[in-house]
Amino acid sequence: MVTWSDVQQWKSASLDALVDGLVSHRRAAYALAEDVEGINRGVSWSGKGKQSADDAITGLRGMADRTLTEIGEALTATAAAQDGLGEVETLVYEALTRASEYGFTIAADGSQVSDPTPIEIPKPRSPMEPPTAREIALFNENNDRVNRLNECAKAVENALNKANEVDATFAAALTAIGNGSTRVDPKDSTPGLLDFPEGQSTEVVAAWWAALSDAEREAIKNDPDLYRALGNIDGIPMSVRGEANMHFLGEDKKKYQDIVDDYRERQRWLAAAGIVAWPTKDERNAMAILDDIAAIEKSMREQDGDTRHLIVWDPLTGEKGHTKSHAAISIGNVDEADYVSTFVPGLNTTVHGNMVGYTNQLQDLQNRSEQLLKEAGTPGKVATIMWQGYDTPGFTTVASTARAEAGGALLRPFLEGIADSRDANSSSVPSQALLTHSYGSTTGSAGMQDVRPGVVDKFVLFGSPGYVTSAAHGALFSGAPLTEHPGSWNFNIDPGNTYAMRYGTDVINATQGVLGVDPMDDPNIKHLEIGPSKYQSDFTVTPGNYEYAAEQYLVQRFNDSVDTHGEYLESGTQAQEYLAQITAGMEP
Amino acid sequence: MAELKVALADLDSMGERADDAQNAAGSIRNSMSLDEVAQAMPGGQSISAATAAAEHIESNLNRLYTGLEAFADAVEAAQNAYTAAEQRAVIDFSGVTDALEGEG
Repeated sequence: MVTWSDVQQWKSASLDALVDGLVSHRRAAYALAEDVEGINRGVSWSGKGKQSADDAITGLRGMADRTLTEIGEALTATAAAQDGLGEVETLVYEALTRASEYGFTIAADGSQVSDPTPIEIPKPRSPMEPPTAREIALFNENNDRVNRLNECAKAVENALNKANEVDATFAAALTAIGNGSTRVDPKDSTPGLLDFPEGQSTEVVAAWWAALSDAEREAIKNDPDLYRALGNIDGIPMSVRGEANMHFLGEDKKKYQDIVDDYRERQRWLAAAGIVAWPTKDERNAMAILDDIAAIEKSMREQDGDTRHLIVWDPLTGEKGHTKSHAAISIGNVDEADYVSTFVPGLNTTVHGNMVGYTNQLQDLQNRSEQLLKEAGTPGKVATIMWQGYDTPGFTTVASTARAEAGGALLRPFLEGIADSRDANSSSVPSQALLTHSYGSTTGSAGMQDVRPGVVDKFVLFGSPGYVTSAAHGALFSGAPLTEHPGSWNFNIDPGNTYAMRYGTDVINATQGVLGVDPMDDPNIKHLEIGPSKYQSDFTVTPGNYEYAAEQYLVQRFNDSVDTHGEYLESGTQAQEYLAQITAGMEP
Repeated sequence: MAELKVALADLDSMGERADDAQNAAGSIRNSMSLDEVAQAMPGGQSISAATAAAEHIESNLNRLYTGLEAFADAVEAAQNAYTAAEQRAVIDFSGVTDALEGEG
């Protein structure tokens, strides 16, 4: 059994070199098996000598296949263990951040977590005498400490349980290899590897793709179902995803156009008979998807010679969690960039309505970041991503954090997939920033509490209605003062790398307190000063009709505040400058 | 009895391919290691399992390496034997030529 002292030293990154080595060995072993198979190819030979040589080659091929399978199995097991180690690391990080935030101590074997400075609760006086405000505050603070202590102990227990589980699974897989009991199937299309890694961790996916031979990759591309799935699997290189998604975008365009054409035809026939033809649900969806496709096609037109990849394409189905098309476009090559920034939008964002505008703004941001790097004498490649990989809320759903939590669960593997894919395929992991706007910051915060530590280097919440983390929920409901332990410490990012900014006249100010903790109230988050919004139109009052003027003033101020909410990414603003600096890995 | 047909140049290529495959097996074998497991998860039972797995794969690669070496040697030996048989046949048939030219 591993101890708490042991698991604190467990590092998934320590397996990077091993995974890289096994990836390379597996590709070499595949080529070797092919070479052995082809030793007597084209040899003009017959007789007993040939028969004897053929038998020998069959034996050699069997051994080559066994080696290939065993190396593949070792790689699959190691990548899965690496994912498990990442989870252990996250749990350890969560335990340690709680312990550090509250000053708890954890025993070396993990058996005990204690609070060396507990709150001293005054003894109750007469039951008739109400508690003082200070006593209530102490009681609430004590409640908060006790809850956090229990959480910390639970995190330690979970970390140890997970560590033992990961260790046992990994050891069993390695033991099977070690004692030669690995099953070798000559008909296996991907010996030693998964047939297809749907539902697997991003580490496993990344290692799987990197280890496949060119022939195996080609076979997957020739299977339409697998190829479509490949486009949206986190951990696959973005250039590969982009190629797959663009292929199916074209197919989808034809498919949904046929549905809409059939509807139009029916509409014409029925109109002749004086009947109105209402579209079915499928037909309405098809129309919406075609609008999304048109926006994507427009957004994909490369500008200034920049690479763009469609790295998520998942047309809406109308089902819960998929009432909108999900899409993401990268500006710049994520597979090669030194810096990658993912932008998460919020309220009412749609592919057809916002993809073009946001990709243009993110191109400006990319350009400015690269310019800053050049000016600093450290030129580097930057890629920005417009990620709408979740159902953004509308006005009826914005008051709930449900979509943020669902989106955060999709965002986390997306971010981890970038790191893992780069690590497995090029061994160069980019610096990653997460830029979140409006409700997107609530979504981003939900992702940041679970993302593997070390994946995201900088996190920005701008124009934010609030953030959620399990700690923030606890802080909100424990009654303890928010400013003491507001909850951002629960984001899995190095302290000092979370930023927030908001215009004083941003319409979002009206929603504070609805969606968790206001990042502008959190002293553990760096607040960036951006000055006044440019959307403050002059207002002149014509003497006489003051009531009408007052109404118009309010309407104008409201419109200004709405425009202000969308100002952060506009070129030339201080907000965009900060975002460009953060994207370039600089301290704003 | 099986028909005997041999293109010696093809055997040459086959031997070269066996040599190349042998080198490839040697290259994987020489860099095969799972040592990083010990650094990644101290205290884990996977460390000894990793050592055993690496030794097993290495041993298989070694068998493959030796097998390919033996194969290449066998090809060379076969080539030599066929060449020697060819030369013997030439010598044997040279008697006919000698007889025809009246030197026998």
